Amino acid sequence: MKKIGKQLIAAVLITALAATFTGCGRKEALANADVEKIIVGTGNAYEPYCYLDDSGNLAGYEYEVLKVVDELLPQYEFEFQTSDFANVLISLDAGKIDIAAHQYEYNEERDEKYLFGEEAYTTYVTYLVVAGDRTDITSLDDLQGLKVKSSSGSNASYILENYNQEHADNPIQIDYVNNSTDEETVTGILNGVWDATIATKRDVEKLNKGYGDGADVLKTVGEAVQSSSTYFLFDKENTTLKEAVDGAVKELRENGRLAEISTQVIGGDYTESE
Amino acid sequence: MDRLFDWGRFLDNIPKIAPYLSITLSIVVFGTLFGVILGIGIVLINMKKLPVLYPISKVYVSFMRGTPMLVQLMIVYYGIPAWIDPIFGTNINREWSAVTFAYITFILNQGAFLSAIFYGAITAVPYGQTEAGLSVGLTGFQTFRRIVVPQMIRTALPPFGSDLVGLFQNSSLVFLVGVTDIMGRAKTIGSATKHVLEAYVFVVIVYISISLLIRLSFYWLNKKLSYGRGGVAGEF
Repeated sequence: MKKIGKQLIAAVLITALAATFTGCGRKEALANADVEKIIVGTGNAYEPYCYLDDSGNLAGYEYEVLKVVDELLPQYEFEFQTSDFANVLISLDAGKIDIAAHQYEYNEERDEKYLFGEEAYTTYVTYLVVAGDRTDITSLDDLQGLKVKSSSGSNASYILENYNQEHADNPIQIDYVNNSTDEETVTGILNGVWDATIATKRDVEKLNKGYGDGADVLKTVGEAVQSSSTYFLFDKENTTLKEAVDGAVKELRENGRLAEISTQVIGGDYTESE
Repeated sequence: MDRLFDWGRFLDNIPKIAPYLSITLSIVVFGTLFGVILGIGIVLINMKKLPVLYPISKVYVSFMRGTPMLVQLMIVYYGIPAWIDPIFGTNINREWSAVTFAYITFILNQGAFLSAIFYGAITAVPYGQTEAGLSVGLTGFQTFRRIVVPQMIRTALPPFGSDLVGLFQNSSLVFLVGVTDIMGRAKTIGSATKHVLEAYVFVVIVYISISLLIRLSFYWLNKKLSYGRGGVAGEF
């Protein structure tokens, strides 16, 4: 009798566990079967590319561009999902999202894992950024032994890591700061927590405007660290979607809509060259 | 630089952040409610030493208590769909929202922690009392319900309270998988407006008030349940 009771409890617990896994939270499939739902993954803390507006809704350049892309592609319906920058590509790995949009520059490491769109939608020329009064840094070589702020999974980190592989005797100290705010970046560079960071000129202008109080507290120095463009990223298998999005971006560039959005949202046309 | 802290911005932020308190609270409520149920289930498995389930529950509880919450969140968010979907042919990876995975993580985590609290509290009641109950003719269940449970609740209550306070703070981790709670909203306000300090200060006030509220209510509950005796030391 006692044994049967034990087995009964075990059976009930197992079914309850199974029920919670399969039962809850399942959503209805889309009513319109012809329209494929595409989940776009983007960040939530990179103004003006992807951030949350006053009422907490996703806003920014990535969102505006993809919204018009979606309008051009009747066979797809885009749904946006935000997360921390470092988690966007992990979500693409895990198949949670179909398109990753977070100002991704091309690099070999990313190219091995993901499918790059062929149509760039913004140029991305990055420079070393230091405090306005510093004159000792003009190139990566000057940074050996010094501390540079970066974030894991970013192209800036990729560049720095590659540099360090070649200069293992006296590497640049990379400080991986994920999910930091602009305010932390500016304050950290000004009070010497970091000697430099890597960013685009337009990002530096944005920071100076936001925190400089009219003065250029930060400045870009030297030659460009890298001149590249940003692309949407897809899963390796997903060539149909990639081609469709590429076509739409191309059309938007040719009819001037992309430049229009760039001027409106970022404050300048950054779609062709700087 | 602009003034680092500005009361105008502080006041502006309140209506922007406050609605997200419901997300934070729902995680705490779901985590606690289903966590208690799961915790009781695990305690039953432990007490009855059920075959197969008993060793599984041991491993599970030590995993949940011994790994960072962030790791658990990542494993549930990315790992569970990868494990469940191929087996059942489902697609929870895409169909369940990030907040559902956040709920599951917190339920699984709380279940483990609460089971340890409950089990400890039950074993704190001397076995002689159960024997005494059985010897006067009460059934096993009656003994448990009338003699063990009332005493066990008093022992379990203080750690349950501090666990709840901890859970409330841990809920801020969900922002990493894209669930916007009050902490996440404060961060996004920071990146959208370039001023993060005011938002953080408001979030601090919210966290402190709620944790005080939880502690106070447990203090009161504890007093109420001590029936004139000294109560359990260190409950507040």
